[in-house]
Amino acid sequence: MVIIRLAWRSLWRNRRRTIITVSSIALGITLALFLISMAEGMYKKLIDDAVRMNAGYVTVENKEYARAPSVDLVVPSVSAIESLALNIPAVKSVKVLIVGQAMISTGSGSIGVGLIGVDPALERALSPIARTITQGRYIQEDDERGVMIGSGIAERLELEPGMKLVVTCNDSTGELVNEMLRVTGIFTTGMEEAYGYLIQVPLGVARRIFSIGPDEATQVGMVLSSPDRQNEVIALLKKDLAGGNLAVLPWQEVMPDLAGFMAVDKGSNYVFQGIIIFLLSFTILNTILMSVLERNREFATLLALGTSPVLLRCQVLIETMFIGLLGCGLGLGIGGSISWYFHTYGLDLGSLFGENLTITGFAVDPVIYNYIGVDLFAWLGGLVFLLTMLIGLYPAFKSTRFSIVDVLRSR
Amino acid sequence: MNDLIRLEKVVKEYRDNGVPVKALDSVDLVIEQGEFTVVMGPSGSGKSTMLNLIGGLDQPTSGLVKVVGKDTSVLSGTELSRLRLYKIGFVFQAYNLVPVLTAYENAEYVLMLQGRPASERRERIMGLLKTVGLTGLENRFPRELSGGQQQRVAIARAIAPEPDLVLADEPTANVDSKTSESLLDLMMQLNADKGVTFLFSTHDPAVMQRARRIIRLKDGRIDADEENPRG
Repeated sequence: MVIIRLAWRSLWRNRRRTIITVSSIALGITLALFLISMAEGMYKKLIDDAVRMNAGYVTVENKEYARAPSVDLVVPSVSAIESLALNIPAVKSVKVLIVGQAMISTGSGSIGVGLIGVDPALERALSPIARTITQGRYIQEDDERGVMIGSGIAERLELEPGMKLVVTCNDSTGELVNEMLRVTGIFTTGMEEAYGYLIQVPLGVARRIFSIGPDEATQVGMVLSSPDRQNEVIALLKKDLAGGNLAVLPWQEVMPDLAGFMAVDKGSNYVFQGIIIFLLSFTILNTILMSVLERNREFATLLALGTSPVLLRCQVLIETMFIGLLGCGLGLGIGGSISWYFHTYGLDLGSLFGENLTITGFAVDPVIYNYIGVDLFAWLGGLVFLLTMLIGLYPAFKSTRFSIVDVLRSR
Repeated sequence: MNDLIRLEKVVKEYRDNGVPVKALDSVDLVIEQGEFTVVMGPSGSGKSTMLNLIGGLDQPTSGLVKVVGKDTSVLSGTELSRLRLYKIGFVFQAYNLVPVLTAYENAEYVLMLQGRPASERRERIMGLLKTVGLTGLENRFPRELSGGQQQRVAIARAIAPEPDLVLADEPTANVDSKTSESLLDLMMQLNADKGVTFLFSTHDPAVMQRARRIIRLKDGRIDADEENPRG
């Protein structure tokens, strides 16, 4: 079609201007794609670490537990729930947790801690704590008195692997209980809330300390094959567990601080990208409008020859489309390549933030792996392309808003 | 003979700094199919205005302009575009070729808009470019052609769809006398062979000598309308 040919060649009439505009779009997309993919990569890693260390992407707990966490608010028939969950294809593994408050004491002093009962075998595969042992070894299922402690606790109470400590707490019946445990290992996650506050014991030990039944726990967490399947798993579990005293919660409700931080951070990130794209839109508008206004005589001739105004506006929109496609294609290509590199090899922020990078109290690996997904490419490319086309509407409208006679008469 | 163009009591008024100026004042004119007519007169006499009204590029302030049997004042923008596309060819003083299209593509443009098949377009345009003496220059862009060559392309573009009417606004103003003669030869030949009606506005004596009818405009009125025995 002749207007496509005209549009393409007109685009290169002012080569430098077209190259600058296409480059501006490409640069904007490259920057936005890289920053968003890095942020998404960081969020995904942060969520993944947090849910693995805590109660999974989906958590089953007593309906009252979230309001006032207490060891007497238990989930009964844990093994049945576990089997039920493992039958859902999206569920990769099930974490059974007993979480309570306690006081630990040694000859050097006493501090309050969060005591978590875990399945050591599963935790070794899932939790970042098991990967950050600095001394000793991780607890085992048959450790009758074994306990993992954070490096902050070890420092304050002058503890080392093999040394003893006394746990004091209220059990599920409200009785004050004491239990002597022996340190098997010390971990440090880079997150003070973890290494300065948490201790981990095998599930059996936690049940014994808190007087919780063998098939009971405070939380049952599901680790999923993909976070995208969270809603599907929640719906299935809610259906299966309906009528009981249990709540099926997404991680966002179990860890509202983290979810809140991400919402705010994502929001500010998108506002920043929005400003870049908004500024970019002026460059696009300027280019297309200038290219239309300086061709009034040509457009007047084409109209005189019988070209319909609609066809002429289409030509301007096709030129806009070419600019958009070239800019978006180039930007997605360059931005995608950079993001792919950091998706594969990671971006080490250790030199900027140190090895102990934490975000809203959650430890983050200083090596960030960018997120690469078709969805990100599609919406970012689609958004900028759509914006370019919308910007092109005004110059297209302007392209036929003149008197043919006046323009042809002008020299 | 059929009336191709009919102007009845046509008035065209412009406002110049708020003052109304009559470019055409109560003009009556009939031009029949196959005529080779020149409109002449001093600058500001209304020649270009008349051609613009006949070409549907402008509307009269009052009066009737009928082209190919159609009253241009009642046609919509789209209908006027179609009238120009299928019935009228334009040749401009400044050639007005599309700079990003080659000579061949410029000549082909209207045929493409009309949706003619590629084979027909090719055959017709190559033949026309040969007729206007541009064989071998098909792939040159306007900037690579002389003024005369560009005007030949413009003429080829105007006559390629075999319109009923070609309106030529001072077509020889920017070319040398030799080129002017050859362009006129070409247009006369097309008039004779294909029956294409030509209406020129010009100051060029060479054009006036060839015209069969000369209309003289003065102050927006037809001062004289005469047959040219030498045309």
